[in-house]
Parts: sequence; C-alpha cells; structure tokens
Amino acid sequence: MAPKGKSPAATPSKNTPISTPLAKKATEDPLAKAIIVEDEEIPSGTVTPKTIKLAYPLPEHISSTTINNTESLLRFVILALICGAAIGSRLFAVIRFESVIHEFDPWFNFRASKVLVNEGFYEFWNWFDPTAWYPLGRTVGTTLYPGLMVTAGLIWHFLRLINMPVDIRNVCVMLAPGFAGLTAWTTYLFTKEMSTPAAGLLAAAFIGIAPGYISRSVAGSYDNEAIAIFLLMAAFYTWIKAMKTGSALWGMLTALFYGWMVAAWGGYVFITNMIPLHAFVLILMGRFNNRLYTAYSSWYVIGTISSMQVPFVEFLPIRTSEHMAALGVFGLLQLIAFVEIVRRLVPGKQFQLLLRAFVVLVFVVSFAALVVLTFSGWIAPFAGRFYSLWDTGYAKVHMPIIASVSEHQPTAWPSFFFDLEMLIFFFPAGVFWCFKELRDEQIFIIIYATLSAYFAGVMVRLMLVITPVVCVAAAIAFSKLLEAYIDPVIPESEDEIEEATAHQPMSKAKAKKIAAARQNKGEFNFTGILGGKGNKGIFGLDTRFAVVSVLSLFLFLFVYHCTWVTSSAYSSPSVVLASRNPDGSQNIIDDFREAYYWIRQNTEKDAVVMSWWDYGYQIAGMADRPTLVDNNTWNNTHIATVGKAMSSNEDVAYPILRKHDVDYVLVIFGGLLGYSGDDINKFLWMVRIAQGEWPDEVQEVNYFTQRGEYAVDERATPTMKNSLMYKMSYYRFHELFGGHPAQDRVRGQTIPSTGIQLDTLDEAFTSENWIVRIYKVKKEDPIGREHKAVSSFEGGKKLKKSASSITAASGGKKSRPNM
Amino acid sequence: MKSLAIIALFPLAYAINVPQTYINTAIARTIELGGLTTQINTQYNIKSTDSSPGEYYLALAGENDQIPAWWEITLGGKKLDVKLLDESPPTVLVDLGKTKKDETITLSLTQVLSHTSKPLPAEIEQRDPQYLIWKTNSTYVDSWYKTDVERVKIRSPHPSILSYSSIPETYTRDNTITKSGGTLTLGPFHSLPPTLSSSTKTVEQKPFSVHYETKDPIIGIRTLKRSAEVSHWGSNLNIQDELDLVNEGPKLKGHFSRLAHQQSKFHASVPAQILTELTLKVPPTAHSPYYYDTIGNVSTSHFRQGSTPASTAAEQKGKKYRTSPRLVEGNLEIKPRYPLLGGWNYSFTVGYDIPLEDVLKSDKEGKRILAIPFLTGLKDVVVDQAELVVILPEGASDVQVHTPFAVDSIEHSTHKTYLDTTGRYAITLKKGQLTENHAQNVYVTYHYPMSAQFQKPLTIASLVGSLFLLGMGLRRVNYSIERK
Repeated sequence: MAPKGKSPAATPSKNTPISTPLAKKATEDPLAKAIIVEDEEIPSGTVTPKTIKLAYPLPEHISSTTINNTESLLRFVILALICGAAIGSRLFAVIRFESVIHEFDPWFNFRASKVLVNEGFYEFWNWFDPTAWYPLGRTVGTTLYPGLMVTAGLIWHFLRLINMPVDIRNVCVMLAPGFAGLTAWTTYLFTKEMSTPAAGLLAAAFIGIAPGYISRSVAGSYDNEAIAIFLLMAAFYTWIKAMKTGSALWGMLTALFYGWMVAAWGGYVFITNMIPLHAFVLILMGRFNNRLYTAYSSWYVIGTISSMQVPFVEFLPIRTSEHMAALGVFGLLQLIAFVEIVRRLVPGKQFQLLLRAFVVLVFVVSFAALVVLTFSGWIAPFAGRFYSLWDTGYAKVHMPIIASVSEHQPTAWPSFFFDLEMLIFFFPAGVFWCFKELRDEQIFIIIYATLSAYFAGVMVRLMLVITPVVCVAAAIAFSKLLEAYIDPVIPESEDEIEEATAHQPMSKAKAKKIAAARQNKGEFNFTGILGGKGNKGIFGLDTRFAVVSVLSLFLFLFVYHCTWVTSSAYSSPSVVLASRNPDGSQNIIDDFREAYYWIRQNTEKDAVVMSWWDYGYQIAGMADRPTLVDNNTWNNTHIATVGKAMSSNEDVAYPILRKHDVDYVLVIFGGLLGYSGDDINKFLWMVRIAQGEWPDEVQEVNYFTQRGEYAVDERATPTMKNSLMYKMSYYRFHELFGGHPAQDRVRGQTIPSTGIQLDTLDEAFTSENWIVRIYKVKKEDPIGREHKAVSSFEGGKKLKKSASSITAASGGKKSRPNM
Repeated sequence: MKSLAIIALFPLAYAINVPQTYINTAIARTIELGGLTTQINTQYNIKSTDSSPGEYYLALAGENDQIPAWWEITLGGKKLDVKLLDESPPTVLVDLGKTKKDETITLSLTQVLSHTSKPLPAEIEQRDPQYLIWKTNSTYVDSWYKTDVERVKIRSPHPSILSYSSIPETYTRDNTITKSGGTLTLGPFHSLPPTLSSSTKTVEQKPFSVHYETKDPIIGIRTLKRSAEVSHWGSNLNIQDELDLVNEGPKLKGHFSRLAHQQSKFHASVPAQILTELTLKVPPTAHSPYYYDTIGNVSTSHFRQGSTPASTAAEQKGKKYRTSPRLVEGNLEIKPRYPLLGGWNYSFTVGYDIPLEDVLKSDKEGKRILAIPFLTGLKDVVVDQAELVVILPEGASDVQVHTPFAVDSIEHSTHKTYLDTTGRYAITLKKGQLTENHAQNVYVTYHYPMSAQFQKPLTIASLVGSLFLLGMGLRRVNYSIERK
C-alpha cells in the first residue's frame, strides 16, 4: 500500500533533541518550523530543550527512522482497520437476512452479470434480451453501463483462476463493501494531497462509515454507484497528482479511471465537467503552467478515447452539450500554450495584445460554433434529466416517469444531517481552510464542494456525490483542530521572544521572519489556530483536554449515529421484509420471492407477466419470465400502456392484455399486512403516466372523490372501483375477514363487502401475506361469448338476466368486441 | 403336441423351459398400496418334488415386465444372492442349496414397485379428496410352478375404497374377494396351474384394479443430486442435496385460492394433496444445515438437532434430571416457499455437515473407509434419477467404491475447488428409480498420506512468500527515466 511508498514529508533533522512522534505534525506548524530551523542553524546542538515549553512530556531519544517507520506502520494498520470497518459496517443485511441482491436495479445488474460469466463477454456485449419490454425486446449490450458487471466478472474469473469457485451472486453481493474499502483508501490518498496524512486518515474513516455513502453501497446493493464512488475518488486523486507533478503517467491513470467510471456510471459527467472547470478556474486565476497543460491534455485525449469504447457512450463525448466544456477547455489550453510559446519568443507589448485578442476571438468563435451546432441539432442539447437539475419542477411537468421515482425528489434538509451527521457542520470549516491556503488542489475542493452542494440539494440521489467532499473537507477541518490542540508546544510569550532574540545571535532570515510577523500584527489578522502563524498557540493543558475530549465525543457520536442509520435505514434488502413476533423473535416476510419462485417453477417458460415497471427487473431476475415493462423506463408509451391497462375497466383492459400476449398480471397489495409501498399507493402515477399518452381516455380527476380525496372505501369513484388495479387488489379481500369489516391497513379504510367480480381474469396465486397477487388472463371463450356472459352463466344466473347484463355492458361506450 | 398348441395359441411364448421340480404349497402375498410406491411382500412355501430339484425360478412382480425398483429375496431372514435372468417377466434363479424330496422351504420376496398408481380423476379442485387407481396385470402371483393355495391381500392406506375389479370364481371355493376396512383379500385360490410356463397348461392372468383414496400428498423427486465433500483438515463431511420436487398427485383444476387455503388451515383441514411441509431425517450428529433455492435462502424451515448418547451425557452433566441417553436422528423440517398443489414443482437445495469421525474409519494399514448414504429416504417417495458425487480430499489415491446395490454408472473425475492445485478425486454414481429402501451406505476406500495433507498449506505459503519477495524486489528498482 501506498503510505509506505510515499514516505511523509517530515524531515526533522537528525540531531534534533525534540524529535518526537509529533515532530512531523509540528513541521506543519510554522512556529515549530521556526524552531527546527533554529536548530539547524546551530550545528553544535547547544539548544537546550528549555527553550521550548511543552504542555506535556514527550519521550526522548527516539531516532527519526524509528519514528518514520512507526508512523508508516501505524498509518498502514489504521488504514487497514478503516477498510475493515468500512466493509464490516455494510454487512448488516447479510447477517440479518442473507447474502441476497437488494431492491430493483441490482437484480438487473445481477442478471446481466450472470449472462456475462455464463455465456462469455461477447454474448454479453451483443446481448439482446427478448424477454424484456415484450414484445419489443431490449438491446441490453448497448444500453447499459457495463463497468459494474465486467468488474464483477473479472473478480469472479480471477477467483476461478486460483481455484476459488465463488458463486457469482456472492461476488455481486460483496462487491459494494469491497469497493467501499478501496474508496476509503483512495480518499486517504486524495486528502493527503490536500492536507496532512492525519487528515487523510480521518477522511478515510469518515467516508468509510458515512451513511450518505453507505446508503448506496451496503452488501447486496449491487448497483453502479457501488464502484462509482471509488472510481470518482481515484480519478480525482490521480488528477490532483497529475496536476501537481505534471506527469503524463498520472494523467493517463486519471484517464483510465475516468474510462472505467464512464463504463460504470452515468454520473461520470460530473468528472467530465469537474476537471475542465478546475482547469478553467486555474487559467482564470492566472495559474496556467505546463504541468496543468500536460495533465489536462493527457487526461482529455486518452480519457475521451477510452470513454468512447463504451457502446452506450460512443460518440456522445463529441456530440452532446454535457461534454462540450471538456472539449472547450482542451482547445483553450492548446491556444494558451501556443500563445505562451509565441510570447516567449516574440517580445513587444502590441503583439501580446494582439495575441490576447486572438485568444478571445477564437474562444468566442468556437463558442458560437458550439451554439450553432447545438441548435442545428448536430450536438444534442442537454438530456431531460439535466434540465431537472436546474429546474426541479421540470420533471413533474414533462417527465412523470422520472418524477415518480422517489430518489429523484429534491433533498429534504434533515436528510443532510441524517446522512452526514456532524460532518455537515465541519464541511464549511474545511472549505474555509482550503480558501486559506488556496493551492491549486485546494481550489479543486472548493469547486467540488460548491457544485456538489448544489446538486445534492436538487436530488436525493446526488447526496452520494457530495459525501466524499464533505468527508474530505470535514476531515481537514477536524485534523486542523486536533493538531492545534494536541500539539504539545506552548507558545512563548512576547517577552520571552524578545529576550531570546536579544541574547542570541540571529541569522538574517530569522530576523526578517520575526519582523514580518510583527508587521502583520498591525493589519487585520486571525488569531490562534486560524492565524496559523505567529507565536500564537494553546497555553494550558486544560484547554487542550477540553477541546480534544469534546472532539472525541463528536467522533463517538458520529460512529454511533452512522451505525444506527446504517442498521435501521439502509440495510433492508426490500426483497425480504422483516417484522417482529410478539415474543421478539424475527419474522421474515418473504412474499415476493414466494410468488416469483412460484412463477418460475409453475408457469410456462414463455408466459408473459405484466406488472408495474418497478417489478420488471425482479420478475426477470427471480421469476425468469418475459415482462412488459421494467425499471429501464426507456419507452414511455409502453409504460403508459401498462398504466392504462391497470387504470381502465376490464372491457378496455382486456383487449390491451390480449394484444400484448399477457398471460399473468401481477400486483403488489399491502392492505393485509400494512406494507405501504404497494401498487394502490403508486396507482396515481400509473394514471398520470397513462393520462400523458391518452388524455381523453384516462383522467386523474376521475380517481378522486368529489371532495378530492383518494379513497378506496365506499367513497371511491366508480372509475376507481372498476379499474383493473382496484379489482385485482381487493378481489375477495373482504372474505378474509369473515363478515367483519375488511380493513385496509395501509390506507386505514374499510373495503366495501360487495364482492368484486373479475370476468376476464382468474386469480392464479396469492402469496402468504397477500402482498403479491397474480392473476391469469383468460383466453377468449371457445364459443365466442363475452367473458361477462360466461361468468354470469357459470354463476347460475338466469339467461334473461345475463342477457340484460350483456346489453347493459354493450350499451356503454366502451364495449368492444373481444379479439 | 399339446404344448406346441399352447405356444401357438399364446403369443406369450417363454424362451426358457422351467423343469417342474417344485410346487408351491402356499403363497401369501401382501400388497401395500401407497402413493408412488407399492410394496409387495410375498411368502413362498416351496416343496421340491424331485430329489435333486436344482434351482428355483422366481418371477418378480414387475409391471409390464419391468424390474422392480427394489427387491430382495430372503430365506429364513437371510438375504440371498441370486442371479437375475434376462427374461420376461424378470425372473431370478434362486439356489436353495441341497434339498431333499418333499422338503418344504419358506422363501420370502420383498419388492417395491414405483409409479404403479395413477391419480383418478387426473384433475381435482383445491379442496377435493384425491383418489388413485392401482392396476396390475397379474391378479394371481406369477409363478413358474403349480400352486396349491394362494392368497393375496391388498391394503389401501385409507379405508375408503371406491371400487375394485372382480375375479372369476375358477379357482376359489367360497368368496373370491373379501373387503374389510381398507383391506381386500383375494382368494384363497386353490390348485393353481403355473401362470408362466412354456410347457404345461397355464392359468389365464386377469388385470385387477383398485380405486382408493390417499390422505398424503404424493411427492415425487425428479432428480436428486447429492454431493458429499470430505475435508480432512476441517474433519468434516458436507452433504448437499439438490432436489427437484414435484407433486405427482392429481393436477389442480382451476386455480389456487389463498383464501381457501388459509381457511382450511384455520380449520385444520388442509386437503390431502397439498404439501406444506416435508421432514428430512438427518444423521444424529449433523449440524449447520442450510436450505436455499435458486433465488436465495428459504427462511421457513426448522432444524431439530439429533443427539447421541455421548452428547446427551455431556449436556446433562450436572443436571438433576436425566433423560435416557439414546441415538436421536436430527430432523430438518422443510417448508417450501409456497404450498405444493397437484402438478406443481419446487426445486431446492439442502445441505448439512457431519463430523468426519462418524463416517470415516481407517484400518491398520492406513486405508480409509468412508460411508456415505446414497440418499435420505423419504417414505413413499420415488427418486426418478439420482446422482451421487463423492469428492475426496486432494491427494487421495487407490480409490475403490463399493455400492450396496447395482448402480447405472460410476465415473471417476477430478474436481477443483478451494485453492486446489492438483484437484480432488471425484466419483460420480448414477442410478434411476430409487425408493426409501435405497437409503443405504456407499463405501469408498482410499489412501490419504500425510504429505497430501500438507500440500495445500505449503503451496499457498510458498505462493504468498514469493509474492512478498517479488514486492521486495520491485520496491528496490528505480523506474524513473530521469537520472538522479
């Protein structure tokens, strides 16, 4: 690991009598630096320890190599422990439940990974999935980010290579925690570049357990974000390194991590804009230099080429607005570099002016060209999801599907505290410290902080992006505080300094320094730790103790909070639910898998299952059956069709079901158990999305009572009661209560006990707690009767009555012949 | 000439000519009807009519000339080794040893037939009772010899018998069929000619059928894959079964109603054909069981650990009251994810660990003898196709397999897992049509030298060591292009 390789910058001189374990930290302190300089200036080593007052005694006579070695060993051990903690804190779900893939999207990723490892890379690359989006199918290979699956596949192949046949499911489940450990390590490296290794360790510890990141990376949460944050931090670290050293090697590493990131997550656009913005700000600040030029050029060229290898991205880097900033800054850098060379060769003020005008002209012209290209359609304008980043109301109006996803909602303020706890308070302090030093890399933190703070406010999901920078900035602030208060050196009072200067022969440099320090006093200056220089410091042991113990308390509370949040909020697989029995033992509610496995084992292999899109990936993954729509919401019309079928009455819905070859319809119903994430609660989104396509046939207002309530009891409107969704959810529900009022426990309403009659569907399966209900779509009647007539005939009603019911049905405007 | 005429008359011409050196003085047959299996016990009282009668030809009662799934012939409680003839119906040659003239011998034949009962009606609704029909082509016991007295008892698992066939009164003196409760008694029949013969006059076989009710779900296992992995380091034997379960009872007519199921559960009258729980017996010392299927762990199961005299004694040390120490098998109570109705499938995997010392013995020369049960027996369940893979530790040699019954195939291969270098010795045994009676041990003997035991730790240690050495070397190389 790296900490040993890059041995710290601590260079305490060998003959220093005060070389203590804290001496390295002391070097950061200008005061201590002055002391060491003092020592070096007097080679005889006659400086007595008395000149430096210590708040508490330190061990003496330890050689600096010992200290260095101990430090790097300690760092290594601490970092390893942090990685272990990062992994361990993500295992709640595995321990409580089992090694299972969580939620919805991970099920698709898992299925894709299985295709990758079972059928090989090329099959995966060219994978056309006929079972998704039936009957359209989906060209999966070119519509996904393959980075995650390829990463998991490589790990799986490596383990197989060393004869460790681990199930691909376990690789997928453990991938996120594993990469969380790596994230902690890269965050350490990144923060070390910004500040001290001590801050790096703190940042690693913070990111390791910060709930904002854990929420997306618990074991089983096999989603793109699981590896994306690691790649983000690795790309940023290598970028900072490249920019500092001006090394094309680091630039290339940045590009490789960037390419990996592009393959893994759509959020790569953040890096695509973050790095150019950093470079641009540096140019504006007049900090252009060859190192920046080398770093940026090598990153941009290799990174863009590598990103274009991903089929889903392909030519996007040169054809969409999101990528134009990177291209623009690349051009700008070339121009500036060119101008710099010319300026060096050709003196003369007019010429320089001309050059400047040239630069501005080229910039304006290329920007205009960009705009023209955008409007002419060659460069695609921003995608809808990006607009929703600027206008949070945009999605609700134009893209109900995107707005219907809970993680696309704007962030509520409490969730900042919930996800980051005390870090959110230390975060501005850390940014302030960056302003204070304002080296090139600290500008990066400032930009990153500003941008991500905005994005995190706009979308809950982007809390993930702000978490790393919050951890880094908070760690910087925290370590500054700790350093100041742990530092044993007691500052000399002014008299003592004067005394010392008077008695000692002074070198010129030191004299200047002291003079400068005195001059500064006249101006406005921060004092104490904020000042960072001068002879200010902490005097008493009691202050040290008080502050350090309060900070430690903060740290303990942070750990406690993180553990609690992870365990209670972020570790539910949502495929398996848990409740408590009266005796306190855990009761597992496994209805989803029960129903999915039933479909898998007891229906035809090609039976088409229709459900709301949320469950598409799960059905494909667990039940292994074709679905109409899934979580890859690419075809709005298709989703609206399902929405229409669910929200219409049977006469309208049945032809839709038959046209799409639907064999089974699956609904989620939480009314018996009180599971609130059920389809009746999502129903309005189905109505809205259907209304978007067929405003004449489906109207949201018809599903509300006259008083504007969303009711499922007697007050429910006829449209609501006749909708397929309502009928399927409450079919025979009241019978379960044996005459007592049937209580829907989610909505707290009483379901009317008039029986619901389903003419075109048969109840095929209902899970143990009624959460999943599956209906089989009836085929056309063999002798051409209407289904309604068939069910009344079988119900033993008189022919007369059934005839009248037929006329009643056909009298309505919606009667149409069965197909 | 007469015999020739018979041959011409009957298309069933038998290739062998059985010398009529024995007669059956009495045959008593008991047929236990079940779901998928039918157990038949037959007692033959044999008298030799010749001073050197030779071997006795015993016809097995396989339906449609099939060999029964399991059969055993005992003479006075001792199992006999017999020779199966390539004949139809399947016939064995029983060597009765030296017998004098008129000496009577009692031979008993136990056999289990599979898939002899079929559901009738083939489709029923969720709450309907299930009925099976059992058909046989040989009402009389198949025999190559004359029989003086013969009686056949058919026992149904439940008294409710809907119907049964009739038998002509050719050989009976009083009533042909007596029904008492769930038992039908056919006969006794007197002075029966042989049912099978190529020379003498034979009795004409009649088909017979019983339509009866069962109160247990009819469970079949399509495939069973058992793997047994031996670890000497962990002193452990892991047994893992992959099962494809199917409810072979009458198919469900219409659809499953959860409401009706919950109501019948509430009234404690779950219909017979619905399988909600299955209990697997596991060895007393089995521990760490697991139960999962394709999409994950199945949380609805219980494990009741067995106990041995030793473990009970250790547990009760210091306790006031002691229960008698005895061997109790462990129970793995498995509940499928959903109730299994007629025609529904359910496939899953169960597994558990057994301490190796319980199943492995070594003899003086260091040869190890491993005993592995071929399958976990389930009452009245037929396994259509079973596969047993025994994985021996890496470095095992001189492997020999001893099976308690004939298997269809034995394959030897290499299996690589858990950081293996040379791979483990694996034996694959396959057999079709297994019943509860096949739950017997397969013995595998092998040599396992001490050096093999250290193969893996040494390999890994040297590999890791060389990685460290490589790292040390690489750290001391200067990659910089610039000269310093």
